[in-house]
Amino acid sequence: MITIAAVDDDRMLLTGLRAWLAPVEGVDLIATAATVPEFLALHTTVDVVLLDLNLRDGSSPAANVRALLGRDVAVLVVSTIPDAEHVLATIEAGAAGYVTKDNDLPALVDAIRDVAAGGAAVSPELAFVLSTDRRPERPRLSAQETLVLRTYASGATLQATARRAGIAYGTAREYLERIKRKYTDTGRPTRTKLDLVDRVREDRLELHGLDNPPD
Amino acid sequence: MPVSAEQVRMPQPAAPPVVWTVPGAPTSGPEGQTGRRLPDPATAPERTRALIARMVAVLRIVQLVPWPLAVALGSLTGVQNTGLAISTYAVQTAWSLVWVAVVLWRRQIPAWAMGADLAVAAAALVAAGMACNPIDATSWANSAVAPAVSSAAAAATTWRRGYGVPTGIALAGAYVVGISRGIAVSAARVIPSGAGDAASMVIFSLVAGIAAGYLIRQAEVTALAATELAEARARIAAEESRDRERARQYRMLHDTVLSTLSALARGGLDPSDPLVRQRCAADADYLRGLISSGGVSSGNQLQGELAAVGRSQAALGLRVHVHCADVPVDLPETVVRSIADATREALNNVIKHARVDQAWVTALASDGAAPGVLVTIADRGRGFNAAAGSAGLGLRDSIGARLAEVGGTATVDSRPGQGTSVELRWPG
Repeated sequence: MITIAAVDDDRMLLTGLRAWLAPVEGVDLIATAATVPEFLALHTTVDVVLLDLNLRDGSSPAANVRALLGRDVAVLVVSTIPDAEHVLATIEAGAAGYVTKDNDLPALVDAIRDVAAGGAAVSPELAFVLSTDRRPERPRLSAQETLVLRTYASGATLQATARRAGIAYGTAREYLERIKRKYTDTGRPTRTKLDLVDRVREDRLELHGLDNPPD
Repeated sequence: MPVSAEQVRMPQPAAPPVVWTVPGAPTSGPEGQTGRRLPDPATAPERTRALIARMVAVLRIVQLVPWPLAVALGSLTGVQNTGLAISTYAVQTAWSLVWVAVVLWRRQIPAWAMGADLAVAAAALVAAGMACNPIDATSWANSAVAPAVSSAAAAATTWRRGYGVPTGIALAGAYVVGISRGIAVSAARVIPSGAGDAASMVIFSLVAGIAAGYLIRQAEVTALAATELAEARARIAAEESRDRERARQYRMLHDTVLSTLSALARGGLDPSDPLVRQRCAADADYLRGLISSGGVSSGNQLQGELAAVGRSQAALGLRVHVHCADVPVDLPETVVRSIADATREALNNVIKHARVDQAWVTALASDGAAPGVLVTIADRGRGFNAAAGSAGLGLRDSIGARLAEVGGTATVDSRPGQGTSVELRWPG
């Protein structure tokens, strides 16, 4: 049984969601809250939190994700409209996936199961946001990764995506997860001085290649 | 043998290419009141530089004429070393012809040609001065003076920023070296006329530099004004087209979302009625398609059209997810219409053949250098064997032909059980 909580400031939507998920086997919505602090105050343990992207309490979407990750839950971000800037911020903050609220019930339940199992929920809408990311600080994707991401973002099936990239079905899935992981890694700050030294060394290697090996 | 052709290319009849124009902006150069075509103001600086280069080249040819004339009319008496005088003139003339050819051909004075020309002019000033009788070194017998003045002027028009005058002074210095024997023999006779020649080299370069600088600056001002005017016209045209599109979208919102919400608010409708829910979902999809990512593209005609096409398919039971990013705002009207019609046709095919109730429409700026668009219509339905080319009824005619009419292309990718993707690309 996967236990979930929903954080959304739209009461009507929470009521609808409860009724919607009630008949679904293996998924149990056990808590709802209007804000992240309100949810944290409940001290309820769940596997997955459905987090509304833009809460009206003015909180930052990325900060909300980080606060929830402190409770060791998987965060699935949901919103009415894929507001690219904030979707990217939540993914970089460590959210496990993103879906728009217009998805049908099976698609939502699939995404919940994916993130509860420790995977990523790369919906076509999330793939679209990632594939149209033009920020200079975006992670570097290989040509093959870009092709997989773009094809999947167009709404094509994963089978068709894999065939067009000339790779196996399972490999295409791995590509999508790897791309999402690159975003999470981008968002992770350089924590220690040792990390920093490592990064500088990597950058140097990238700059000079192996032309000047140490004596 | 495996089938390798993955995509069926739509037949593309020869069609006139669509010309990318901004409504209201002139499509060619402006015309004078007499109907005579005026040159494009944007190229004014370039044309002015070419004109100056031509004038400088003509001046050089003219400056080479006096010495042979003077010699023919009897001034040869001023020449002491005839061999040196003639060979100096011959070398400078030969080089000058090369230089003039380069300047006329390139329509400007290349830096290397200017440098070489000044070196030749300076050497000629020394040699020609030495070849004359000392006291005649400042007379017409000195063949290098006139070409040196034209070199100084040319250098000043090429290197306007302060190098003109120093160049003139350097040439004057070479001149003084050439006539130094004359100064030693008869300072009173040689210095006044020599000073006049030296001063004319400096002053010519100063005046030429100022005049060329003024002309080029005026041309640049003209070009800038012309560019700004064209940009302002394009901005106004784009603004008007956005306003039209916004008005159209408001009408559509009134007919869909607003009337649905009003009907619900009045009461009496059962919100769980499948028909009511279908209509609400369709309206929500339409709004989502319009707003897309962050609402930056309000008034984008293609985006509005695609959202409206998706909304119209909802009545037939198909939910369409529309995602747009970076779509160019100023696509030609005919292109937007063709893409919208082709999209509707592709969605009709989804309804008829795919046996699913969802489809995706994505629109992106295409990768090419020119502004273009790539629209993909994808479903996750039954699919068919696109490589065999037998299926895909309606794809070839109604979709491929529509795109071909405006210079675009359509490709279809499908396999049994893997859904279908139709890609519309403009320009093709």
